[in-house]
Amino acid sequence: MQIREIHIDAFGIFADKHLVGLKPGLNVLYGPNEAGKTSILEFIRRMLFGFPARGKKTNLYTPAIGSGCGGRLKCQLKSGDDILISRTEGRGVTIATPLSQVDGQTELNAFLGNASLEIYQNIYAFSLDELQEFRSLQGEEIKNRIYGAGLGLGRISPGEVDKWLNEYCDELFRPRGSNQKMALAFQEIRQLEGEIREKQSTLGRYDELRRALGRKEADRAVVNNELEQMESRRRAIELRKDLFPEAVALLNAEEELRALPDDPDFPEQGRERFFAFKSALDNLDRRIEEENHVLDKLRSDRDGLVLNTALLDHERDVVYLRGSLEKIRSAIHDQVAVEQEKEDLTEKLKLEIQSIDPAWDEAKVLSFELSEAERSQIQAFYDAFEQLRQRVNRSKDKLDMHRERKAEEESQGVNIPSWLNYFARSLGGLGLLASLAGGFMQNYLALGAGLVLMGSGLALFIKTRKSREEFSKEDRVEATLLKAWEDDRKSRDRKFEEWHEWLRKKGLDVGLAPLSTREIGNKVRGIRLMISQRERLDARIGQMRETLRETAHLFETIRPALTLFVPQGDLPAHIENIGRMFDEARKEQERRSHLDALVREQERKLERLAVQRKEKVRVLSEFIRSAGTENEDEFLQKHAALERRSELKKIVEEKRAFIQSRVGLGEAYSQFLQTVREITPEDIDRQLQLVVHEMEERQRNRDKLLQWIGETSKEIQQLESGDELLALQEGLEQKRQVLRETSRRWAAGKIALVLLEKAKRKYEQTRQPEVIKSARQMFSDITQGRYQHIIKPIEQNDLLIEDAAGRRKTVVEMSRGTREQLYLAMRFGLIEEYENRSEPLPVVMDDVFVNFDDERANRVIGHLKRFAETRQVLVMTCHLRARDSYLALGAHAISI
Amino acid sequence: MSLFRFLHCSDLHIDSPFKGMASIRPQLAERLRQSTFNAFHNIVKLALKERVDAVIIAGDIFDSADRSLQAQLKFRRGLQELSDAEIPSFIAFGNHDPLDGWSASLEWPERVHFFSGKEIERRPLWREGRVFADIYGRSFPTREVRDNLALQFQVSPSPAYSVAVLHTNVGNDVNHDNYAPCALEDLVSRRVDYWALGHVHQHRVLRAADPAVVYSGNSQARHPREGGKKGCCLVTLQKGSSPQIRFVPIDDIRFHWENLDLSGVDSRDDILRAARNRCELLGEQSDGRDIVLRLSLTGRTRLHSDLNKGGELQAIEEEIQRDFDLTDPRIWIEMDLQTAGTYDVDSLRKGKDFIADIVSLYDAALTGEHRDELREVLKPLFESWQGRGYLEAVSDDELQDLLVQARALTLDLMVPEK
Repeated sequence: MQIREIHIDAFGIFADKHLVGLKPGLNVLYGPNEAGKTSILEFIRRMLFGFPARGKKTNLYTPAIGSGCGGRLKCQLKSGDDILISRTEGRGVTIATPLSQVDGQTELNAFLGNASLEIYQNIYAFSLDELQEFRSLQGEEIKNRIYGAGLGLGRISPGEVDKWLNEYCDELFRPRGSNQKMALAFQEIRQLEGEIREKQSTLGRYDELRRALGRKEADRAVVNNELEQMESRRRAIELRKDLFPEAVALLNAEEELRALPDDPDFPEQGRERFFAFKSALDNLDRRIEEENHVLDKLRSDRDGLVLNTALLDHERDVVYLRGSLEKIRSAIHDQVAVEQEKEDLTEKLKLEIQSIDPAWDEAKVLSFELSEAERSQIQAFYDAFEQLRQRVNRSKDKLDMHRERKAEEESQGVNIPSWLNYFARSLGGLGLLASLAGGFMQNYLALGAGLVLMGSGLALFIKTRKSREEFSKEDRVEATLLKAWEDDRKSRDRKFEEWHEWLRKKGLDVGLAPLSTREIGNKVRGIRLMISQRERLDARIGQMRETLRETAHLFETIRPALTLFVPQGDLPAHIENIGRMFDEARKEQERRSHLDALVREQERKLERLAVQRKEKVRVLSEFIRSAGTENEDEFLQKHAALERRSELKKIVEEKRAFIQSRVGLGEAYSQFLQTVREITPEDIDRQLQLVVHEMEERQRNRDKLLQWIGETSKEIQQLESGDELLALQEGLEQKRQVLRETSRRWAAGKIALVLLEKAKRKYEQTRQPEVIKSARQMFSDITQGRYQHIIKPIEQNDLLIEDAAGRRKTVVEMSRGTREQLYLAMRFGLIEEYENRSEPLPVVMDDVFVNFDDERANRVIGHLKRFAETRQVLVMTCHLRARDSYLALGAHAISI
Repeated sequence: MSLFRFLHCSDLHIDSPFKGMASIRPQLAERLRQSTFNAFHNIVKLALKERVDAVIIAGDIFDSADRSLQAQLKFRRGLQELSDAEIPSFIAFGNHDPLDGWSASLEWPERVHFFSGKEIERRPLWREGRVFADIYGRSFPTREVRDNLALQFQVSPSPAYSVAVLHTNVGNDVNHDNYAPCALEDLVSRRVDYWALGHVHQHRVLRAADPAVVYSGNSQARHPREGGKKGCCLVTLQKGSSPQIRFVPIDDIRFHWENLDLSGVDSRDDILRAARNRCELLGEQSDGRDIVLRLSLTGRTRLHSDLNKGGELQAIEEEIQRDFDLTDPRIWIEMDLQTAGTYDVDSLRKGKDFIADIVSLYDAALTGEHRDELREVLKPLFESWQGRGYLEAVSDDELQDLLVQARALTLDLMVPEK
């Protein structure tokens, strides 16, 4: 592909820049410094391979005018087809062919023969700077850059890939290493296996433990058995020990029993009976003594009594006084009240008399009498008065009524409404007219109506008139009524006169009314009653005074007989005291006689008791003799002996029963006794100790067994419940898988290394020598045969040049110019080699000849010409001289 | 004659560890550990619920090489439940749990019968005073049994139902260890109603009737590659008709291994979304079971190098796992990376540079060149290393895969980022 036209819309300093007319072969772009030559170089590169993303550390050539970078390249392919490559920053690339239009870098790459930017940048389009860059760099870089120049790689070189892969593999595995992934996984596997084996041994252990457990449990049963047996032995020995004293006691008792005599004739329960008698006797004695005490006491009590005989002699008076006590009390109590009452009564009496008549006194009252007849007279007067009065009133009322009515009717008659008068008159008048008119006109209706009206008016008129007449009649009635009333009044007055007369006769005040008069009668009666009442009160008072006097007198007579006189208090109190003292004296007297009786009784009782005693004594002696003894002591002795016998018998029985209950009957029992006879307590103790000791030992064994059994059971349980085995196995599987996967990764890495190495080798052997071959040719020519060989040692990453004498120089040892020539030659070689298989691309070069001397520069130019014959080469320079040289070669010139 | 209903299961592998995962989250690990026992317990529960007449277990109940006491105790627990419900169980041992691998001191519940390792045994089942079914069986006395045990079965004709139990590899299937191999004809020629087989971990009905020959498959997957439903067979035999064989899935956890193609996926969020969608879909299909999903990310994606950065894949995994930690059913996610960069190997091949050389070198290797050299370089690990016993040799197929991986490794490093 070759470029024909360059159109820059915006790039760096350029805007709307057009370079046209680029031809195949050599083209020289001439422009002074800062004309933009490098920009154009960069532009071409970027048009072909894309604008770098913002943010990359490279010159973006941001257009001065402000828009994005963009432009077009018009190119021609090897086939002769024209294509237009348009690219704008941010909007991708479009390739227009005569037939179609496609876009995208991939499409463009196809036109570029799949060359990469790196290839292009390193081989095809380079500036002087880039050429010079390697000046101070050493071996590896050079080779790799050079490889890089031809390998189409960017940042990472085969050496670095190699290094990376080696590290990758080394991390995973080293044959004798122990920190790599494989080794670590392996270690873990081993450990897990160990743990698993241990856990797996649990299966065997489990069975083992269960078997051992079975055995030990059998052992335990045996030991338990032994212990049981020993226990019963021990119990037997202990029994012997416990019963030993009992048995000894038994044997002793039996022996003693044998020594004591028996007496069947001794009365049964002799001792009891003896003592019964004795105790009865004693009781009796005691009783007698008691009764004596009682007697003495009675006597002394009786003699100790003191009597107040003086008082007793006044019995009758005392009784009397006591009987009058109430009377006296009331007398004292009431006396004052009664006197007061009398006073009141007297007062009242006075007032009452006064109320009848101030001039009256008691004597007058007493003499006054109102008989029943007089009473009824009074009543008759009263009634008559009432009657008369009523009559008078009635007739007055009638009269009044009549007068009223008259007045009413008069006013009525007078007050006959005038309209009624006129109405009546007009009615009549109207009627008259109407009838006249009707008659005149011969209207019978009017006539009739008029007549009617007239009639009505007339009737009305007559009525009013009537009323007036009636009215005058009334006057006569009034006179009658008036008279009647007068008569009644007179009667009444006459009655009054009668009454006054009666009063005078009676000696009473004339002004009295009948009712009041009657009242007087009542009052007199009342006063009389009061007087008699007063008399009664007087009598009572007299009585009371009398009573008091009497009793006081009596009291005085008795007082000397009183042993204790308390002066305080009133008469009743004194009487009470007396009464009390009298009662006491009386009581004493009674007691005395009572005691006398008791004493006598007691004496009799004692006599009886003495008799009983005698009898008892007799019976006792008889009894003693019946037992074959003479006296009490003998009796008791005999009794004691016999008692002992029975005691011993009891002991023997008891002990025997006790022992038999614990040991058994018959043979066991006699055996036991035999044993007791034969051994000592010490023996028993020794036996016991022995057994206990043995038991303790067995028990210790058993405890150990139990503990073992407990622990083992727990362990068995743990084994049954433990779950770690599976977890371990799983861990193991995981690690195995890790191992597998890691081994695969390592294998892939190793394989990659092998093939990488092979590729490098191949490249070294096949590719690169071609490059060097063509480069060597050119280089030798450029240096005029000075250096005829370029050598890249296989095992060394270095480029060497060799002169005719065989002297080799490394890159560092070369001069700058020579080095640049070498790189240039290498590039050309690479380009040629690359284009063996690819679409040729335009070569763009900066002013690379600055450091070449004239001769070498010319030679380079010569090679350039040759080189450009089959390609398009764009060289850029700011030297006129160089330009002229190019032009001399037939280059096409273009000014920037 | 009444029906004979029984449960047929095998290959319980109680307490055998899960294989094939390099790292398992502790919660998941715990869950996986319990899964075999849970699956077995599901079988017991099913038997109780269905009130079957018997439970038949055709071997590999646990792996005696593990020598796990707990496995045996757990098995015993389940059997005790069956026994308490008066359901008898008939058990034949297989290559993983031969007779000599069981604990000698454990006592087993009533109504549990282990078939002898010496000869075929016949056990009758009684109902209403008559024998209504005979169960024939034979256990592996030791692990290595290479005889054709099927031939030893002698079945006498009787009106009762007859079921034979055996752990065997029918038809010399190379995918399985060839223990007690036999041919299908050997089984068919015996006059039983039903062959209850064990050993193959996939449920298969080799023959539907006369006699029915059935592998119940294992009850719980133990490897990510064992996807799909696992369970047991509920069988109803009726005189005069073919056996009714109903497969009942009772596995506790189910595995899925799937690829998630990330070609064209540009953003991390897209990855998350795609993964979540996949999980939800699986969750819906799982009948309420918990799931372990192994998601292999494949395809060419620009995110390839990001994903390769340390910890990134794990972070993505964690994020998705969080979403499904509390769902019902729970889903556990494991991811592995099989993506490639977006560089196109084909276009690289066309290039004319060192990378192209590398690519063509790999092409050559993939067709078989340079094999010796490659194997040579692997020897230090696979043949000399002290831990080589734990490694499997690299097969030729694997070598191909490794070449592809190596190429990816190399190109990832060399092809520059755009």
